[in-house]
Amino acid sequence: MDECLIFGTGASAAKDYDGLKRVVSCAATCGIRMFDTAPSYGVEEILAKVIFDVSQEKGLSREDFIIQTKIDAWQMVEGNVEKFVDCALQKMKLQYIDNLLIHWPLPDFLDDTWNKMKLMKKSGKVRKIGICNVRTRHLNLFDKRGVSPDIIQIERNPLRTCEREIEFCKQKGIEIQAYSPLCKMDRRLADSSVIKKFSEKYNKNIGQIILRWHLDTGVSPIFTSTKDYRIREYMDLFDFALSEDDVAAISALNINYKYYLESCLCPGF
Amino acid sequence: MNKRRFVCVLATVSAIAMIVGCFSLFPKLLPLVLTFFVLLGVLFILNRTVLKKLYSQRDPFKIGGKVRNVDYLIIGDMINPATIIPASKTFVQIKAPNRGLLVSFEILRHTSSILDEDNGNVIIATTLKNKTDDKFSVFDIPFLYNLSIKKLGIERLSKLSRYPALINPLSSIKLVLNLDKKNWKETECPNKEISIFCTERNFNLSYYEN
Ligand SMILES: NC(=O)c1ccc[n+]([C@@H]2O[C@H](COP(=O)([O-])OP(=O)(O)OC[C@H]3O[C@@H](n4cnc5c(N)ncnc54)[C@H](OP(=O)(O)O)[C@@H]3O)[C@@H](O)[C@H]2O)c1
Repeated sequence: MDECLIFGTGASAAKDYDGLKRVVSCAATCGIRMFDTAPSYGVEEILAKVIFDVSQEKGLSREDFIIQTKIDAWQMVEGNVEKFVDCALQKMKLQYIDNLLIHWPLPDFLDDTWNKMKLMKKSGKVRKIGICNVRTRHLNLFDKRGVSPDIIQIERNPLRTCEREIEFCKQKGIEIQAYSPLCKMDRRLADSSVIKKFSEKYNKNIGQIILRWHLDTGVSPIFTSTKDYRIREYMDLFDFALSEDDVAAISALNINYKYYLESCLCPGF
Repeated sequence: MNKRRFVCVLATVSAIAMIVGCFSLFPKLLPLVLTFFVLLGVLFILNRTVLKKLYSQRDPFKIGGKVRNVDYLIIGDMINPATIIPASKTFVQIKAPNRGLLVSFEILRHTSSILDEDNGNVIIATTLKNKTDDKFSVFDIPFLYNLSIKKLGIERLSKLSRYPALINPLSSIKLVLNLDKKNWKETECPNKEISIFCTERNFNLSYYEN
């Protein structure tokens, strides 16, 4: 699949029907078709309803949208993953989930969950399966064990470029999604002289330059906003591309900053 | 005035009335009761200070925190970092009196992502008598994920962790006064699992014993 912009419904997103409907409708008008959620975001059901309503209004069908959700850590621990997915399908009134990802690779429960996800993919309940929050260490291990995700989703932005992971996935043909692609517009990015320079050069704002950097490095950014104007702005980046040198200059901002410390949310990471 | 405030005020007024009533009936009780209240006050202050200290140790790990990629992560008993790492290096320390080796490992499993991924160093320091100790204390709870608390069966301890000074007064005093132990010796880590954990993640492991 080609890189595209994905709209996220995590912590910084709108949580009520009206708020979500407004941004999803705006995103859909701008051409966004892929939406990311998780049980822990508390909006799976609302998002599905919003997508259904928006698709009706815009004359689109279910097949036009890609709905991506996750298996949360607590669900992995409980173990009955199929039941949770059935429940999600029922709640969301869906026949299938496009992408199902493991939210955190809890070492003790990973194999069991993954095997169940593979079965769900086989049965058609789920189209693609993947894992979030992995490093090359995990990917190498998966590779050795014959675990091959269709998608990985990692925290990535110019402050954390994850070059090794990107290289690995490109070699193996794994789709790469970047969450927190703007690092919540951290001051170190918003005030970066490098990005400001490109902002002037390409006549685009800081956010657009960063999202373009993701696309130009072969990664689909999952961004979110509660503001319509920002969603429109962030979709207006398909009329330019960064030069190789400019991509490299942005990548050089890497300090491996992590907004989320993985081991705190995934012990034994 | 909201309902909670009203109940608080009412409880305070009734307590004062009861105490005054008691003293007029039994004046000899006064010193005893005063001592009790002074002790209660001290315990309260100690508790707040310990909690503050514990949460300041946890601060670097918060979502969106700015402390990342440190050179050293020091976990375990009361050891003075200045005696074991170069002054120029960055570090985060998670210490508590008499923290055992296995508990330190569990905390490491929850906190290792703060380390520099290519040059991170783990230091674990435990006393000989706690070498095989896997008993969690109230001081460990802030560093554990809620699913782990459940898995480890320490939910009750977790509830009590709001009152460290009450549950563990002596260790609380040691923590607040920063009473580091002396005469630490670097030796081989007795737990192979910890060594493997660190090797797999490219961390250098040092183990200190007292
Ligand atoms: N798999 C995982 O573990 C995981 C973890 C975290 C997130 N995610 C997914 O990734 C999605 C995006 O994550 P994120 O929220 O961290 O992404 P982000 O796009 O980096 O940050 C979004 C936040 O940045 C703000 N923002 C954007 N542009 C701005 C600007 N120019 N100036 C000031 N503020 C600006 C937005 O505020 P406004 O609302 O004001 O625009 C919003 O609060 C989530 O919704 C979720 O779906 C996955």
